[in-house]
Amino acid sequence: MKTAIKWFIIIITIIIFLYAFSSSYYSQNIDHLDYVIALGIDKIPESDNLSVTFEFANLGSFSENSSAEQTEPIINTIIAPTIPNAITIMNAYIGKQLNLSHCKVIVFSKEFAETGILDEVSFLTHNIQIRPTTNVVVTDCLAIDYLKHSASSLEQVLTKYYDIFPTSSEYTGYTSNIPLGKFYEDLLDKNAGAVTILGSIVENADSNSNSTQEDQKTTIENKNTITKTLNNKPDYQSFEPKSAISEGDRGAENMGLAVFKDDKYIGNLSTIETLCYSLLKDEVDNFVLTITNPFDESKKVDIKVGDLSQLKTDIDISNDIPTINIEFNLTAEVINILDNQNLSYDKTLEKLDIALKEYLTEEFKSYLYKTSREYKSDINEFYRIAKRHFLTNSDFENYDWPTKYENAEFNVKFNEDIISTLIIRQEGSK
Amino acid sequence: MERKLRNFEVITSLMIMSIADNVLTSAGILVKEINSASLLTSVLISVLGIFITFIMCKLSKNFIGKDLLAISEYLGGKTLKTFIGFGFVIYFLLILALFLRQTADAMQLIYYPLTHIIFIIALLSIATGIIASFGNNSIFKTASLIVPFIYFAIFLIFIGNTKNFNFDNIFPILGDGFNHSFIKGLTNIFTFSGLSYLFFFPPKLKKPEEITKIGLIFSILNGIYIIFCVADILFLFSDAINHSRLPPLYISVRYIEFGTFFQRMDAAFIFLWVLGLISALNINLYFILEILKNITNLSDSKPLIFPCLFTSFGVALGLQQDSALDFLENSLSKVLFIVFTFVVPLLIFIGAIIKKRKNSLKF
Repeated sequence: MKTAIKWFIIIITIIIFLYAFSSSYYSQNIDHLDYVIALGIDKIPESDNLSVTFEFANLGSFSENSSAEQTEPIINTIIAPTIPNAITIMNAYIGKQLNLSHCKVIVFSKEFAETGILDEVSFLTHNIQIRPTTNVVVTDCLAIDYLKHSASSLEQVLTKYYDIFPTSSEYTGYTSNIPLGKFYEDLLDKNAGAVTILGSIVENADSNSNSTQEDQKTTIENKNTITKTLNNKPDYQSFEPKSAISEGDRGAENMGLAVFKDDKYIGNLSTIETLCYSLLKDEVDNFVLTITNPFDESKKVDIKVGDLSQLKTDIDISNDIPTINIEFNLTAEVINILDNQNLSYDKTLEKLDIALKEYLTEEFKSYLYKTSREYKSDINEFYRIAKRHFLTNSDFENYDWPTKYENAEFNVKFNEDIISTLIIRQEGSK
Repeated sequence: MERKLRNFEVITSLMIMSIADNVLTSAGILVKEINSASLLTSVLISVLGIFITFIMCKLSKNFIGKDLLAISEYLGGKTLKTFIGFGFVIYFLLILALFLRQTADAMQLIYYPLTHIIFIIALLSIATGIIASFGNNSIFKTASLIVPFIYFAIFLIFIGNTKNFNFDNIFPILGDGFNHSFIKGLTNIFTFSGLSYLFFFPPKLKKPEEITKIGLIFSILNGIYIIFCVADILFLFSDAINHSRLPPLYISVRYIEFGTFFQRMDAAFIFLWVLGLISALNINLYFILEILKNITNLSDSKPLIFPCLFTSFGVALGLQQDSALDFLENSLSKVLFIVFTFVVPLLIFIGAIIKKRKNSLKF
């Protein structure tokens, strides 16, 4: 009798627990889930509503029978007042539960980011399914258009592209890896500014899709893509990426950064400014610069900068205006053949070195003063170095760094000999 | 007759109690309260913890093989022993309830969003009860098996997060001021929560005379663990840590990616931590039962397993509101820890030594 009661209790307990945990099991069951790979958020003009776009993985593309051709991603959009509301509506619409654990990128349109996005970023950061390493993009077009144009035949699996594209920052410096967790931290940080990847649609994105027809004859149109001059010389790093890409099967590109003050988008960083940002953040392994040839201004010279040692930054707060001193330690090599028979090898290197330093100093100063004077946003987090000079938090708060940064002065220095070698030497050079 | 415990089993059991507490709350509370000075404070706490453990172990050497209850009986008779015993039972039951609630909360948030918390707490309670019925053999052997993995996981977490660290988060070095960081901050010594159980071990030890060695090894290992936990959280987060319900150490694990191949390492760490937390629940329950058995002169503590678990189950369910949980985590448990881990044992040791000296002088 005692054993029977014991078994009865055990069986009843097991049944109760099976029942209690079944709802969680079913909700997490792969058959009952739809995986979102990207999320796009736009603001509906003159309305409080958001347009939330969900991009889903096309599971057919992973099956054995799928063709080698790339399959179109599935994109659905919901109009709702908030993101949680949009998720609820979407769950009801698709009849399955959305799962955001494979969401690789979150896209905000510039128009929406201008109004402040802390609430939305806070919700997404605290959502247990979304990983803090998910990338954040602000687009100068609609987020839905960016998502629609992100597919490419170069990458069969779109999630892989979303995973990999920010790593190009390591060898170009034209973009940066901005994970959601870090972006949220920066939005909350009243001393620092925040940045996200800047996404755009290339100028001829829609016409590109038709250009692969075999009988179509290609004409290459020349465009002036350089957007800035430096000391009356073209700045080859400061180009318009959208128009620079004249032929390509991916309509969207990610070059430059979007800058935030508090939780509001306030402006962009160009490609060269993004390179400056990345160098100051120590995020670039190597990159190639094109500058005007100091021996012949009608020509260009390509310099590969690599082996970057940690930069030294020191902040002088003894005066009312902080002075930020930055010292770079770079190594570079020229990758062109130089036609300069008149100068010795050492003199050639010296002249190239001076030209490179002048170029970099100008670019860095222009970038740094833009962040302080124009954007008033310490996106490189110099305040963390300034904090070293204070003993307590209240001392630092009394110093009022955000106001001080707006008037900060910058000094940029480089190591003695940046350019170490000419990779290809002209015959006769000594 | 129960099996006598080896030193390694005791050290790992003490460690699992501290690790469970640190992973769930203590390390996060320390960084939230002391912010930029928390690393320095954790070093100070570790040194202080080692020193106090050494002093207490030295004092306990006057009563080799005797636990705190036996010493209090020597000092004040059965009344004091019963009084102290019930005090510790209430303290350990509160810790058990707190662990149950925190573990269930985390599991609900991460794995079982649609399951009511009552079922998760009940499941953990029943699992704890079943393991407790097998006796000390399974409990302490499990702890000695799991702890090395959980302990070294913190180094893996630290290394995995290094690329995301901002070492300047330790500035300003004094945080919110010297008093706040280093005087008030010392109350965070409750990160040594395993120490509360040390003086109940002597009668169960194979070599009770090595209690100082056990205490010192535990406190050194615990100090290193706290420093790494605090460093990981401090270097990774600034202000955002204050806004999340999840344990900060768990959030920090979500940042770890070894290239694109090893991602989502959190699943492996959670598996380890859940094993560790269940082990901590078992050790806690074991000592509640042992103390109750001792003060009530019961020959078998098994009938007390489920009444104790029902009590902690009730308390855990009662912690519905965040304010109640916060009060228990941040205020009450700190005070209780200091009282039951340092004040009560020290007073008992000192009183008993004085009595012993007086008695020896009489003869």
